[in-house]
Amino acid sequence: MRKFIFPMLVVLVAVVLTAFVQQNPEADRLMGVWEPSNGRARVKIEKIGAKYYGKFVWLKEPIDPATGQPKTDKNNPDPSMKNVPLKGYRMLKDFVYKGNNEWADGTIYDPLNGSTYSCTIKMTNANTLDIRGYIGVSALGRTDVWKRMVVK
Amino acid sequence: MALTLITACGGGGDKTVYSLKDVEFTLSGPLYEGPNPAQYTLAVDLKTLLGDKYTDGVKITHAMLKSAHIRAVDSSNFDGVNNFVVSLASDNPELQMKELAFLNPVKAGTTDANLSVSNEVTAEDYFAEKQFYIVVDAGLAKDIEADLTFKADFEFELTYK
Repeated sequence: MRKFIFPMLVVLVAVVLTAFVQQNPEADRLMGVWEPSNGRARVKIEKIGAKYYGKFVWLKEPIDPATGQPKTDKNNPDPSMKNVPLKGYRMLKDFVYKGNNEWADGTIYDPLNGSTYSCTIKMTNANTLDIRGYIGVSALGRTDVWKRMVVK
Repeated sequence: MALTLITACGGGGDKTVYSLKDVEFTLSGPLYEGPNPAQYTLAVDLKTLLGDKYTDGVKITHAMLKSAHIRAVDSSNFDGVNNFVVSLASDNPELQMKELAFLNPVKAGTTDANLSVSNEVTAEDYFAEKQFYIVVDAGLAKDIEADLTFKADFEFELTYK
Protein backbone atom coordinates (compact mmCIF):
# COMPACT_ATOMS: atom_id res chain seq x y z
CA MET A 1 0.00 0.00 0.00
CA ARG A 2 2.83 2.39 0.93
CA LYS A 3 4.30 2.28 -2.54
CA PHE A 4 1.12 3.88 -3.87
CA ILE A 5 0.94 6.67 -1.32
CA PHE A 6 3.89 8.74 -2.59
CA PRO A 7 2.79 8.79 -6.26
CA MET A 8 -0.73 9.67 -5.15
CA LEU A 9 0.60 12.54 -3.05
CA VAL A 10 2.65 13.83 -6.00
CA VAL A 11 -0.43 13.76 -8.24
CA LEU A 12 -2.52 15.48 -5.57
CA VAL A 13 0.04 18.27 -5.11
CA ALA A 14 0.29 18.74 -8.89
CA VAL A 15 -3.49 19.02 -9.21
CA VAL A 16 -3.70 21.55 -6.39
CA LEU A 17 -0.84 23.64 -7.81
CA THR A 18 -2.37 23.62 -11.29
CA ALA A 19 -5.72 24.73 -9.91
CA PHE A 20 -4.00 27.51 -7.93
CA VAL A 21 -2.16 28.83 -10.98
CA GLN A 22 -5.24 28.77 -13.21
CA GLN A 23 -7.66 30.18 -10.65
CA ASN A 24 -6.46 32.88 -8.36
CA PRO A 25 -9.50 34.69 -6.93
CA GLU A 26 -7.48 37.65 -5.71
CA ALA A 27 -5.89 38.19 -9.11
CA ASP A 28 -9.09 37.41 -11.00
CA ARG A 29 -10.83 40.43 -9.43
CA LEU A 30 -9.41 42.35 -12.37
CA MET A 31 -11.73 40.56 -14.76
CA GLY A 32 -14.86 42.38 -15.87
CA VAL A 33 -15.92 45.32 -18.00
CA TRP A 34 -14.31 48.68 -17.29
CA GLU A 35 -14.80 52.21 -18.60
CA PRO A 36 -11.95 54.73 -18.98
CA SER A 37 -12.49 58.25 -17.63
CA ASN A 38 -13.33 59.71 -21.05
CA GLY A 39 -16.33 57.37 -21.38
CA ARG A 40 -15.58 56.75 -25.05
CA ALA A 41 -15.00 53.00 -24.77
CA ARG A 42 -15.54 49.97 -22.58
CA VAL A 43 -12.85 47.36 -22.08
CA LYS A 44 -13.43 43.77 -21.04
CA ILE A 45 -10.55 42.28 -19.08
CA GLU A 46 -10.24 38.50 -19.26
CA LYS A 47 -7.64 35.84 -18.64
CA ILE A 48 -5.73 33.81 -21.20
CA GLY A 49 -3.43 31.26 -19.61
CA ALA A 50 -1.98 32.97 -16.56
CA LYS A 51 -2.10 36.56 -17.81
CA TYR A 52 -4.76 39.24 -18.19
CA TYR A 53 -5.84 41.02 -21.36
CA GLY A 54 -8.35 43.80 -22.04
CA LYS A 55 -10.21 44.36 -25.29
CA PHE A 56 -12.64 46.96 -26.58
CA VAL A 57 -16.18 45.59 -26.34
CA TRP A 58 -17.98 48.91 -26.84
CA LEU A 59 -17.07 52.11 -28.61
CA LYS A 60 -19.03 55.33 -28.25
CA GLU A 61 -18.29 56.09 -31.89
CA PRO A 62 -17.91 52.70 -33.58
CA ILE A 63 -18.15 53.99 -37.14
CA ASP A 64 -15.26 55.69 -38.92
CA PRO A 65 -16.77 58.89 -40.40
CA ALA A 66 -14.21 58.81 -43.20
CA THR A 67 -15.33 55.40 -44.49
CA GLY A 68 -18.81 54.87 -43.03
CA GLN A 69 -17.56 51.44 -41.90
CA PRO A 70 -16.73 50.07 -38.42
CA LYS A 71 -13.46 51.52 -37.16
CA THR A 72 -10.28 49.56 -37.72
CA ASP A 73 -6.82 49.83 -36.22
CA LYS A 74 -5.75 52.25 -38.94
CA ASN A 75 -2.78 53.58 -36.93
CA ASN A 76 -1.24 50.14 -36.45
CA PRO A 77 2.49 50.51 -37.24
CA ASP A 78 2.28 47.24 -39.21
CA PRO A 79 0.66 48.28 -42.54
CA SER A 80 -0.61 44.75 -43.16
CA MET A 81 -2.68 44.88 -39.96
CA LYS A 82 -4.44 48.23 -40.38
CA ASN A 83 -7.79 46.62 -41.19
CA VAL A 84 -8.02 44.66 -37.93
CA PRO A 85 -11.34 45.70 -36.33
CA LEU A 86 -10.94 48.12 -33.44
CA LYS A 87 -13.90 46.65 -31.59
CA GLY A 88 -12.43 43.53 -30.05
CA TYR A 89 -8.87 44.83 -30.24
CA ARG A 90 -6.79 43.94 -27.16
CA MET A 91 -5.44 47.27 -25.96
CA LEU A 92 -4.31 45.86 -22.59
CA LYS A 93 -1.93 42.93 -22.88
CA ASP A 94 0.07 40.52 -20.75
CA PHE A 95 -0.62 41.68 -17.20
CA VAL A 96 0.67 39.54 -14.34
CA TYR A 97 -0.64 39.84 -10.79
CA LYS A 98 2.10 40.99 -8.41
CA GLY A 99 0.09 41.04 -5.18
CA ASN A 100 -0.99 44.10 -3.18
CA ASN A 101 -3.76 44.89 -5.70
CA GLU A 102 -1.29 45.49 -8.51
CA TRP A 103 -0.94 43.98 -12.00
CA ALA A 104 2.23 44.77 -13.97
CA ASP A 105 4.54 43.76 -16.83
CA GLY A 106 1.79 44.65 -19.31
CA THR A 107 1.27 47.16 -22.08
CA ILE A 108 -1.46 49.59 -23.10
CA TYR A 109 -2.10 50.51 -26.72
CA ASP A 110 -3.41 53.89 -27.83
CA PRO A 111 -5.27 53.39 -31.12
CA LEU A 112 -5.37 57.15 -31.69
CA ASN A 113 -1.64 57.20 -32.44
CA GLY A 114 -0.69 53.53 -32.77
CA SER A 115 1.69 53.71 -29.80
CA THR A 116 2.19 51.05 -27.15
CA TYR A 117 3.28 51.98 -23.64
CA SER A 118 4.40 50.05 -20.58
CA CYS A 119 1.58 49.90 -18.08
CA THR A 120 0.69 49.01 -14.50
CA ILE A 121 -2.77 48.57 -13.03
CA LYS A 122 -3.62 49.35 -9.41
CA MET A 123 -7.02 48.42 -7.99
CA THR A 124 -7.83 51.18 -5.54
CA ASN A 125 -11.16 49.62 -4.63
CA ALA A 126 -13.29 46.80 -6.04
CA ASN A 127 -14.73 49.06 -8.71
CA THR A 128 -11.89 51.44 -9.52
CA LEU A 129 -8.59 51.01 -11.35
CA ASP A 130 -5.65 53.35 -11.71
CA ILE A 131 -4.20 52.60 -15.14
CA ARG A 132 -0.71 54.07 -15.50
CA GLY A 133 0.90 54.15 -18.91
CA TYR A 134 4.52 55.19 -19.25
CA ILE A 135 7.66 55.10 -21.35
CA GLY A 136 10.81 53.88 -19.64
CA VAL A 137 10.20 54.60 -15.96
CA SER A 138 6.81 54.68 -14.27
CA ALA A 139 7.45 58.19 -12.89
CA LEU A 140 7.26 59.54 -16.44
CA GLY A 141 3.72 58.55 -17.21
CA ARG A 142 0.04 59.34 -16.96
CA THR A 143 -2.65 57.73 -14.85
CA ASP A 144 -6.26 57.29 -15.90
CA VAL A 145 -9.04 56.16 -13.58
CA TRP A 146 -11.32 53.41 -14.86
CA LYS A 147 -14.66 52.39 -13.34
CA ARG A 148 -16.19 48.92 -13.32
CA MET A 149 -19.39 48.75 -15.36
CA VAL A 150 -21.13 46.13 -13.23
CA VAL A 151 -20.56 47.36 -9.70
CA LYS A 152 -19.64 44.65 -7.19
CA MET B 1 -5.23 17.38 -36.28
CA ALA B 2 -2.35 16.62 -38.62
CA LEU B 3 0.93 18.21 -39.54
CA THR B 4 3.21 18.13 -42.54
CA LEU B 5 6.72 19.37 -43.14
CA ILE B 6 8.39 20.80 -46.22
CA THR B 7 12.06 21.71 -45.90
CA ALA B 8 14.57 23.84 -47.79
CA CYS B 9 18.10 25.13 -47.23
CA GLY B 10 19.37 28.73 -47.20
CA GLY B 11 22.27 30.90 -46.07
CA GLY B 12 20.62 32.07 -42.85
CA GLY B 13 19.70 28.57 -41.79
CA ASP B 14 17.49 25.83 -43.06
CA LYS B 15 13.81 26.40 -43.56
CA THR B 16 10.81 24.21 -43.06
CA VAL B 17 7.08 24.74 -43.23
CA TYR B 18 5.18 23.52 -40.21
CA SER B 19 1.55 22.86 -41.05
CA LEU B 20 -0.96 22.64 -38.25
CA LYS B 21 -4.20 21.30 -39.64
CA ASP B 22 -7.75 20.76 -38.41
CA VAL B 23 -7.32 22.67 -35.19
CA GLU B 24 -10.77 22.82 -33.66
CA PHE B 25 -11.95 25.94 -31.88
CA THR B 26 -15.22 25.94 -29.96
CA LEU B 27 -16.90 28.98 -28.50
CA SER B 28 -19.34 27.77 -25.87
CA GLY B 29 -22.75 29.43 -26.03
CA PRO B 30 -24.52 31.52 -25.11
CA LEU B 31 -22.31 33.96 -26.96
CA TYR B 32 -22.73 37.70 -26.93
CA GLU B 33 -22.46 40.35 -29.59
CA GLY B 34 -18.85 41.48 -29.95
CA PRO B 35 -15.53 39.63 -29.74
CA ASN B 36 -15.46 36.11 -28.27
CA PRO B 37 -12.17 34.24 -27.85
CA ALA B 38 -11.32 30.57 -28.29
CA GLN B 39 -7.86 29.18 -27.73
CA TYR B 40 -5.68 26.23 -28.59
CA THR B 41 -2.58 25.25 -26.64
CA LEU B 42 0.31 24.34 -28.91
CA ALA B 43 2.98 22.22 -27.21
CA VAL B 44 6.33 23.04 -28.77
CA ASP B 45 8.25 19.85 -29.47
CA LEU B 46 11.11 20.53 -31.87
CA LYS B 47 11.36 16.84 -32.75
CA THR B 48 7.78 16.99 -34.00
CA LEU B 49 8.18 20.42 -35.61
CA LEU B 50 11.36 19.55 -37.50
CA GLY B 51 10.86 15.84 -38.07
CA ASP B 52 13.97 14.13 -39.38
CA LYS B 53 15.75 17.51 -39.55
CA TYR B 54 15.88 17.62 -35.78
CA THR B 55 19.33 17.50 -34.18
CA ASP B 56 20.38 18.05 -30.57
CA GLY B 57 20.78 21.75 -29.81
CA VAL B 58 18.82 22.95 -32.85
CA LYS B 59 16.91 26.22 -32.38
CA ILE B 60 14.20 28.06 -34.27
CA THR B 61 15.85 31.35 -35.27
CA HIS B 62 12.97 32.83 -37.25
CA ALA B 63 9.28 32.03 -37.52
CA MET B 64 6.45 33.63 -39.44
CA LEU B 65 2.85 32.68 -40.00
CA LYS B 66 2.52 32.23 -43.75
CA SER B 67 -1.15 31.28 -43.99
CA ALA B 68 -4.23 30.87 -41.88
CA HIS B 69 -7.44 29.26 -43.10
CA ILE B 70 -10.70 28.97 -41.17
CA ARG B 71 -13.72 26.88 -42.08
CA ALA B 72 -17.10 26.19 -40.57
CA VAL B 73 -18.00 22.62 -39.58
CA ASP B 74 -21.19 20.56 -39.76
CA SER B 75 -22.40 22.36 -42.91
CA SER B 76 -22.91 25.58 -41.00
CA ASN B 77 -21.51 28.92 -42.11
CA PHE B 78 -20.11 32.10 -40.64
CA ASP B 79 -23.38 34.06 -40.70
CA GLY B 80 -23.41 36.25 -37.63
CA VAL B 81 -19.61 36.52 -37.53
CA ASN B 82 -18.24 39.92 -38.51
CA ASN B 83 -14.55 39.16 -38.27
CA PHE B 84 -11.80 36.84 -37.04
CA VAL B 85 -8.47 37.79 -35.45
CA VAL B 86 -5.66 35.31 -34.72
CA SER B 87 -3.17 36.07 -31.94
CA LEU B 88 -0.42 34.31 -30.01
CA ALA B 89 -0.17 34.46 -26.22
CA SER B 90 2.16 32.94 -23.65
CA ASP B 91 2.37 32.58 -19.89
CA ASN B 92 5.95 33.86 -20.05
CA PRO B 93 5.95 37.44 -18.66
CA GLU B 94 8.71 38.31 -21.13
CA LEU B 95 6.50 37.60 -24.14
CA GLN B 96 3.89 40.03 -25.39
CA MET B 97 0.74 38.95 -27.18
CA LYS B 98 0.97 39.34 -30.95
CA GLU B 99 -1.73 39.64 -33.60
CA LEU B 100 -0.79 37.59 -36.64
CA ALA B 101 -3.79 37.40 -38.93
CA PHE B 102 -7.34 38.61 -39.42
CA LEU B 103 -10.39 38.48 -41.64
CA ASN B 104 -12.51 41.64 -41.72
CA PRO B 105 -15.24 41.60 -42.79
CA VAL B 106 -16.46 38.03 -43.14
CA LYS B 107 -18.62 37.81 -46.25
CA ALA B 108 -22.20 36.60 -45.75
CA GLY B 109 -22.74 32.93 -46.55
CA THR B 110 -19.05 32.15 -46.24
CA THR B 111 -18.15 28.67 -45.03
CA ASP B 112 -14.38 29.01 -45.26
CA ALA B 113 -11.84 31.75 -45.82
CA ASN B 114 -8.17 32.60 -45.95
CA LEU B 115 -7.13 35.24 -43.44
CA SER B 116 -4.83 38.18 -44.13
CA VAL B 117 -1.48 37.50 -42.50
CA SER B 118 0.93 40.06 -41.07
CA ASN B 119 4.02 40.64 -43.19
CA GLU B 120 6.06 41.87 -40.22
CA VAL B 121 5.20 40.00 -37.03
CA THR B 122 7.55 37.14 -36.22
CA ALA B 123 7.01 34.32 -33.75
CA GLU B 124 10.40 32.68 -33.10
CA ASP B 125 10.26 33.76 -29.45
CA TYR B 126 7.07 31.74 -29.05
CA PHE B 127 8.68 28.64 -30.56
CA ALA B 128 11.36 28.87 -27.85
CA GLU B 129 8.66 28.18 -25.24
CA LYS B 130 7.44 24.79 -24.08
CA GLN B 131 3.93 25.78 -25.13
CA PHE B 132 1.92 28.81 -26.21
CA TYR B 133 -1.66 29.71 -27.03
CA ILE B 134 -3.17 30.33 -30.44
CA VAL B 135 -6.12 32.61 -29.77
CA VAL B 136 -8.90 33.14 -32.31
CA ASP B 137 -11.36 35.93 -31.64
CA ALA B 138 -14.67 35.76 -33.46
CA GLY B 139 -16.41 39.12 -33.62
CA LEU B 140 -20.15 38.43 -33.51
CA ALA B 141 -22.79 40.69 -35.00
CA LYS B 142 -25.45 39.45 -32.59
CA ASP B 143 -26.01 37.16 -29.61
CA ILE B 144 -25.90 33.43 -30.41
CA GLU B 145 -27.44 30.84 -28.08
CA ALA B 146 -25.62 27.79 -29.47
CA ASP B 147 -21.94 26.87 -29.52
CA LEU B 148 -19.88 28.09 -32.45
CA THR B 149 -17.34 25.57 -33.72
CA PHE B 150 -14.88 26.00 -36.54
CA LYS B 151 -11.61 24.47 -37.68
CA ALA B 152 -8.43 26.17 -38.74
CA ASP B 153 -5.23 25.37 -40.59
CA PHE B 154 -2.02 27.30 -39.99
CA GLU B 155 1.30 27.25 -41.82
CA PHE B 156 4.41 28.59 -40.10
CA GLU B 157 7.66 29.05 -41.95
CA LEU B 158 10.43 28.10 -39.52
CA THR B 159 14.11 28.83 -39.95
CA TYR B 160 16.36 26.66 -37.80
CA LYS B 161 20.06 26.30 -37.03
